[in-house]
Amino acid sequence: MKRLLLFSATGVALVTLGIWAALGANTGWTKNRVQEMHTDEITGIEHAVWTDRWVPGIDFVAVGLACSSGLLIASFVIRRRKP
Amino acid sequence: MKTHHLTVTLIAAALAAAVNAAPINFDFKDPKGVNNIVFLLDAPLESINGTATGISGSASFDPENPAAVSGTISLDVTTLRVPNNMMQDHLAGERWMDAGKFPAVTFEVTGASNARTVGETTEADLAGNLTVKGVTHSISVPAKLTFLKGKLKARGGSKVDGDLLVVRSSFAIKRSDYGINAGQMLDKVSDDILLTMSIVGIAPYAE
Repeated sequence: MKRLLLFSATGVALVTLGIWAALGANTGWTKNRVQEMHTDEITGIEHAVWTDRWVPGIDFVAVGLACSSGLLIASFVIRRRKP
Repeated sequence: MKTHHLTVTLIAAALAAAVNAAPINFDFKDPKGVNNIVFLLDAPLESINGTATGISGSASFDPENPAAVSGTISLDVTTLRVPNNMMQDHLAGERWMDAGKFPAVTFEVTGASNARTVGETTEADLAGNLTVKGVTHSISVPAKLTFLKGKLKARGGSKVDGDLLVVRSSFAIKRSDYGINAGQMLDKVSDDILLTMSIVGIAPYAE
């Protein structure tokens, strides 16, 4: 059981960091949409076009690492309860 | 007879000049939908950076007398966009913009001062009344007005030709001045809102 919890804690941490890094390593808050800048000809006006795209931020990393830490602590608690 | 002919010609030329110098009415409901206002609020982790695109209104502008500009620009509050869904809900909520009760932000331009024109661009301080959440304050903002004669058709989106008026302005307001969650969350979101307006008005020629 202890080993399962340790593996799970490591897995959750790695998956969290992997998803976060693969989707842009955004150091801000999680985004549900991103903006791409376009420039209108003649007037030169720059304007944003929003696209729905999920980009995990540090809040996602924090939740993932908190879950991982919970599993790690649980593994220590289980060990302590053994005679 | 020759003198009489010359007088008539001069009068006709003067009348033509007067007609050309008349103020032009520009419609800011851009068919290409590029008009936008970017808003930026400083925050500890990252700045809140959003856009608003629901812009309409009209303005009267005389290329021969840019200081006489006047008009009203209106912004549909429901078109405010930020990158995060939760933030977007809060923004439209009662404490912040209260989009249900106050669906529009308006800027009524009453005149301009310090106008200086170089080529087709005039830089001036636009004076007017800004209304946000039902609170109106008189403000003066620096602006750059670019008059693009006969460029409407070339830009696309219109079958008839006409003139364009591009207005750019960047200025800051305080959310506490307009009751936008006034005095609250100042440690998380700055009181200053930096606004950058880039809009174009169109004036099609009569067919």
